[in-house]
Amino acid sequence: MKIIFTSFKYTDFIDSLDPTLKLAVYNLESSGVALETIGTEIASIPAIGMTTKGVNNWDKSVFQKVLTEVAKLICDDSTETELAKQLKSEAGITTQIIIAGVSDYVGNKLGFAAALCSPFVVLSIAIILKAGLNVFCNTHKPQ
Amino acid sequence: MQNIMAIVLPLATTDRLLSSAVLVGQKDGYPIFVSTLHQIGQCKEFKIGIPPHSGSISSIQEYPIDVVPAIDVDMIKADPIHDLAFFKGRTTDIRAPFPKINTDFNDISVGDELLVIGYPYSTLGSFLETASITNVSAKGRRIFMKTIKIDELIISHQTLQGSSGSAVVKRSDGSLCGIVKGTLAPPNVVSIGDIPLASDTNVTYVTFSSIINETLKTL
Repeated sequence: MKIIFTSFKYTDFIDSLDPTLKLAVYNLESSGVALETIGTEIASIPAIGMTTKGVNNWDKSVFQKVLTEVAKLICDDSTETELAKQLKSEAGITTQIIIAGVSDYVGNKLGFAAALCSPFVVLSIAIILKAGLNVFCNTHKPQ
Repeated sequence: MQNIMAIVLPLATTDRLLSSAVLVGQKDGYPIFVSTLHQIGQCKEFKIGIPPHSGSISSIQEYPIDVVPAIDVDMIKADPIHDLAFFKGRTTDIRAPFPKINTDFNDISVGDELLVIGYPYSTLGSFLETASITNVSAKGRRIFMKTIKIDELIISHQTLQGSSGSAVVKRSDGSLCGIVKGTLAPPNVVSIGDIPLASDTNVTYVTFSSIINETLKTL
């Protein structure tokens, strides 16, 4: 799966975020906040400081769960997933195709809607690419 | 009551009602709805219920209702910063007006009269839509991590289960000016179930609507 990402920079993925989130990520990053911290904090926003009376199903750990799955997907070369085969067969692959495919895959694994996972998938991929694929995967221990 | 442009319908998953959802526009003829993100949880399939009054709040609503038709919708975007989720219908058969979306925070003043339109009892299985008159108690700008700024209206409104995702409409011009988010509840307080004992259900936070307009442009 790693080979799919070799031609991309981490900013290619950040740039695909919606304008508000993209701006927030770049501003926070330029202030020295790590991308992983940004993901964790943003994932806590829907539940922070307030709650809707009665129904609050938001999982504040959604980012960490997504990051774990994305890391497994990218770093584990022992088995090739259907998604990896599909992405490798794409001519002219784009960040949007990768994000859609990975979000769908991770959503199915975790039981979330793909669209809910999407911004966290982007941040997860950005974290891995910023660290460097081999550096990240060599230090990442699949759980 | 004057003509209200916002059509609000209940959002459901396969086996229960989740919240209120507002029809905010269309993409290639397919309707786009917005609701809050925090109540979604681990749901992958969504529907919009079409009760007999079709979201026309001024109509007489009959009950009990045995069967409510629904359209399948796909969640197409999550905005965790603003606690919003966007859904796209799978049918082009929805014929309803879209609201004028208020994009000018300065256009809203403390004291302005608002209508909160939604299905506060939806999580109990009720399709009763209500409209309540309230006023802007305060205008807020939530600062997060010293960088992210979220414009909010604070209203004096009794928020109940199912109120999340309700439309907040400016009464003077019918414009959609926000989506009900939740009530004030300090974190880490004692709760019964998921209802914090320290919550004040009359202090309701509303995500200002300009972000809806911005997001619709990206779809």
